[in-house]
Amino acid sequence: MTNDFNQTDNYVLSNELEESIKIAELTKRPLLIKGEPGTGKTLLAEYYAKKKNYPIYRWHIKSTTVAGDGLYFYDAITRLNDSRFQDNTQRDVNNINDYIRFEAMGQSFKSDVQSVLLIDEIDKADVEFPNDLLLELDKMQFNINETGETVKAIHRPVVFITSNSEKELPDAFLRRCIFHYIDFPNEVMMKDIVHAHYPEIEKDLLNNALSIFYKLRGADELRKKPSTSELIDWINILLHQGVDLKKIKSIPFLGSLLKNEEDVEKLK
Amino acid sequence: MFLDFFYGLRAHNIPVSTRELLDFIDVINKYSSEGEQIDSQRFYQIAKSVFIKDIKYYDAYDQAFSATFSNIIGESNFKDLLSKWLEDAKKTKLSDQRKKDAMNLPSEELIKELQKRIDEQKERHDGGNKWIGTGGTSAFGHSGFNPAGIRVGGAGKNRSALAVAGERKFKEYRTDSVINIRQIKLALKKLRLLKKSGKPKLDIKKTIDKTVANAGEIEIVKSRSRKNNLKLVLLMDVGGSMTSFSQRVSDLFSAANQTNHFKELHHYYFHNIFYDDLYTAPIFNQDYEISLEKIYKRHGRDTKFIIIGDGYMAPYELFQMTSNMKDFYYSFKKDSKKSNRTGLDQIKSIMRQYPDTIWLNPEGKSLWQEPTISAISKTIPMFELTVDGLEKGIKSLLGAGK
Repeated sequence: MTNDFNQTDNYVLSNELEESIKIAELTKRPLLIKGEPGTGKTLLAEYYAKKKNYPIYRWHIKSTTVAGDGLYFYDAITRLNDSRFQDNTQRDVNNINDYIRFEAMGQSFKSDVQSVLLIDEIDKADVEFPNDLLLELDKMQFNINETGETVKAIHRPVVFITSNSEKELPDAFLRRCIFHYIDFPNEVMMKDIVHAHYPEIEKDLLNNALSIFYKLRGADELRKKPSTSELIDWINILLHQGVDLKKIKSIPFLGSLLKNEEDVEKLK
Repeated sequence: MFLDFFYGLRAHNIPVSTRELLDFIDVINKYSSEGEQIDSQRFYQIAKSVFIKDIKYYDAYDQAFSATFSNIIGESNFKDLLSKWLEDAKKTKLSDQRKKDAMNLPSEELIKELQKRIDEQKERHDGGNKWIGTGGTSAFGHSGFNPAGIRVGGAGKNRSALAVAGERKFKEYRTDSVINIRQIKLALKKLRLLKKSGKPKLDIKKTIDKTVANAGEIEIVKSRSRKNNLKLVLLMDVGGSMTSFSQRVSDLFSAANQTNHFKELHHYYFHNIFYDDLYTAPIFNQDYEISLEKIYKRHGRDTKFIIIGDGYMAPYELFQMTSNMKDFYYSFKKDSKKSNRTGLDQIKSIMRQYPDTIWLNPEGKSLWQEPTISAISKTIPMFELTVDGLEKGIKSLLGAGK
């Protein structure tokens, strides 16, 4: 039994999502995944890589990320330093390639086996960012300006892109993607998910916990609705504390389900 | 019929292009050559993944799907329909070279390609009735499909695609009907005018690049950061017929305030229409009065104006200064410098002063035939106060005056 939500062993894949992955594989297009926080968008790429036994290269996007960051990095400072004080180094200052380091996307292109490339939270970057990646994603190649070399993917990596919808993505970019929205799991599927994490959970406890959980999610006035990862945490606490949900009057350990102070106040 | 579906999607304002259609045919072809079975549920899913790129279109997709397929097929016929279509599609299979070229096809060729498919589709469509219900002789048999390899969750398996589509559970994600603060913020983020500003600062990366290019001879590079240089003024109609829209207006207002990436953001209020004055708070008395003259002096010509109001009022309020109105209006004023301008005159004058002005109307377009609204919309570009309308308005704000 494990209680770490971020484990790929327990990932439950829906029919629809599996279909979308298959389509992305067939069309060789990136799979763009959106969905509520906590529905396992990032985890999907990890799960897929593990299942297929492909190496995974992760590129986590920040607000300052630009397209070039994912390709390669030219370490000019080290080279400058080496040119002045060239002691005990294996790098050849005359060979520019010794100072070029490949980043996630570059690494996945260079990989000599089929790989998975995860571009996580693409909407964090500037609005123009996805457009700057069009050529790289289409042709799966890029140039190293410093050497004039062209890096072409040996095996087209399977690309997963996640987004939290903070920014609208440009049309030209969207047209090149297969899109999937991870719907919030319904009760039947949620049972599977919880079972995958806690195979020995009692039926009563599970049913009661889920009915409370979905009632909470149904409440309109909540600012932040609890998600799957919060449910898993909460059930973990319930199991450890041995709470009988039938006997209690208020929801125990509410803090693990609701992360917003106002929400907790409302339900008290 | 399946091309009808494609055009049905377009008719529902979903941006689908030939590229997606070719992708879709590609998927179906590959599935069929692998001997995969496709029932209507799967067809629904595949088309959705390939054609739809945002959850805001899911609802429109469901509607288009129901509209195209609901009265034509029962579940059992669907397989026959699809397999027949696929058989034909296989014959017109694209060569590998063409597929490679597909992305680089010039637009005329794409259109030609599409036209070809449309012609073929028509033939099938005309003869359509006769093959409904014929037995499935193709690779697409009956037995339930059994996905290999990856574990599958149990949910939602036995529901027909039409039932799923009919549910319309993605209704609330439509953007042309609802607007909330977050969506407005996203839209407002697009309202920007980047300009280099501030003191030049040392640009380390460029300095190093230059220095390296100079073979170690240090060369300092300085640059300035870019900031949003956009100045925005909101004019808001409050009270009266606007009361029912107050939530949306205040959402827009708070979103604009929270966005806080504008160089300047100011807001003024009016009731129904403005004459010589606006108000700095939604309280209409002299203490908060500010004349248009002052506003013209205060805000430069490059300021963008967004006026929010329903434009719905008694016609004389807009078109005339009747003696009654005038007296009523000037009875509040001590220093009666009367300009005798009508509301419409003042709108025109704002438009002259600030060429980048738009009007956002919370009333739906169907009401814009009203005389006062249509008169205003002829003077100022008018958009609906929805996310779509706001985005269009912002585009027009940024497009003009440059």
